[in-house]
Amino acid sequence: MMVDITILKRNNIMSLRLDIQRIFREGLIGFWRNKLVSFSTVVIMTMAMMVMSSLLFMNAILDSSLSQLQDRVDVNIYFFPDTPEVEILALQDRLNLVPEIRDIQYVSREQAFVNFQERYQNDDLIKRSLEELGDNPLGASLNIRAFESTQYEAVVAAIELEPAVVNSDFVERINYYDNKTIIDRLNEFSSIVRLVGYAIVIFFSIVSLLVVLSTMRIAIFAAKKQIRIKRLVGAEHRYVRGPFLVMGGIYGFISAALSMIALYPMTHWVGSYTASFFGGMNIFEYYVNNLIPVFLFLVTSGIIIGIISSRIATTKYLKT
Amino acid sequence: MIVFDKVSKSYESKKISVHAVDLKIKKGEFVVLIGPSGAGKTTLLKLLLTEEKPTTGAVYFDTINIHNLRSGDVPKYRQRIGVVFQDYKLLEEKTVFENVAFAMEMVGKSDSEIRVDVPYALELVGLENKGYNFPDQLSGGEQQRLAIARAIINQPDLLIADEPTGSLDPEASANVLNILNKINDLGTTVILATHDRDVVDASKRRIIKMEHGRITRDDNDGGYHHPKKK
Repeated sequence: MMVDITILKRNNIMSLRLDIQRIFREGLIGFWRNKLVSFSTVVIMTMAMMVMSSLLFMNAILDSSLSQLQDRVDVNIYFFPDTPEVEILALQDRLNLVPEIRDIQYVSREQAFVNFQERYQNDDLIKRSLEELGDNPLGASLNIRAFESTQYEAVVAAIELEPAVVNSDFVERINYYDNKTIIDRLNEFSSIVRLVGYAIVIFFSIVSLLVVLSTMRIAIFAAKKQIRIKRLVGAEHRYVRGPFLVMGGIYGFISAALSMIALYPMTHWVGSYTASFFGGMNIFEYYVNNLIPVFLFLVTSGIIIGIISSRIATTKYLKT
Repeated sequence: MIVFDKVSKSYESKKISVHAVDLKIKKGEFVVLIGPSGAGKTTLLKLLLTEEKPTTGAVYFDTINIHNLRSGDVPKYRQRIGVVFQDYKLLEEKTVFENVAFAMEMVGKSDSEIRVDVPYALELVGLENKGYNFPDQLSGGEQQRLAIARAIINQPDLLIADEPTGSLDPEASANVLNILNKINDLGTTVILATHDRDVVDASKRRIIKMEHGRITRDDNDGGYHHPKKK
């Protein structure tokens, strides 16, 4: 006589709430009673997270430095001294409509003269030459910046379509072609540096993940006998695995919190150096301004890494 | 209720541990399994607990081939069995109370049921004052009694006891036998594997003797020695 398998299933209506409550309690007790294992796992995870967050900070510094470098690149249109200002301002208005252009700075003849004097105020020869000339020999100029350094080619193409530019009576020189090699190199350098930066972050994140996974495997290996006993007395998979997932989550949460605490004095100390070395970007300010996103990122990734590592590590012992 | 149908178990070392065993145990029966060390008693019990798979043959529990169960159904099957392991298999990181409570939690008993039943079971085995101790703080005999409390707490359909009196003095052994008899009276099938001659003689139950992986004696004589050999 064939008997349906359902007769094996006792009328055990275990409420989901009770189930979750017991799994969490087991996880918390397990975390607390295995202090040495918990301590070493948290230390390893904290170190891994600090490596990851340091790399993210490094990437942020690199990004900011590259942006600053790119900000310094511009295209300048130099006009003859006798070019009417109206013509130049009209050209500025038209160029403002070009989508690739971020901003245009107009430097008048007078301003250019003041700037020149300031720059060479200690050079007596130039000072004397200017006095002899008696008049302002400099022309006005437009300093044009694009959103991205890769857009300068398009910007220059747009400039050269303008009738005022084509008319060589007005424009003395456009310096794009002088800077072209530098701009091209900067573009190439930026993309390579960004690529290498991301590759390093991904590589070390994977290494950290593997280190955490190995630590969790060792922690769970220590509980191998207990897992086997639980299985023999009829514990279902979720009951054997669940507390380890909870423990993994707790490890992740605590490690994230510890990393955040440790990063405060570290970034404070490193901050002043990065500000002077990388020209402006203070890593401590970056940390403080991004406190909540950084914390959320670390907590989320910590909990996810903890849970995934526990899940992988317990799978081996749930087969029999 | 339990049927071993031509069950053999051999290991990779080619050593045959259980050889073509045919055995039927009725619901509510009390069976004493005897035999020298290495006779195959523990392997037979492991097969029944699905800890091992038979090389050939099949084991049925309530007409279900237990080795064909899906892995998700194995825990539910095991929840119907109480086991006193030879090496106790206690959860070292849990207290005495929690070890017994764990078995109840697995079958979905409520916290209030656990609070009532666990102290009762601990009192039954004389561990009422050890609830907060951990297994490594107990003597061998106490650990064995804790294993018994855990095995009987859910009033299982089947109770397997592998050498449950191994670390006990004669008086404590008699108590254990008494507990097993009581649980059997409540309708639980009991399989007791033992070397203890006094326990076997006192049980006056069906005796199954194993030697070299085979059943060499199966009678209701209730004595350690076969009547014809006395």
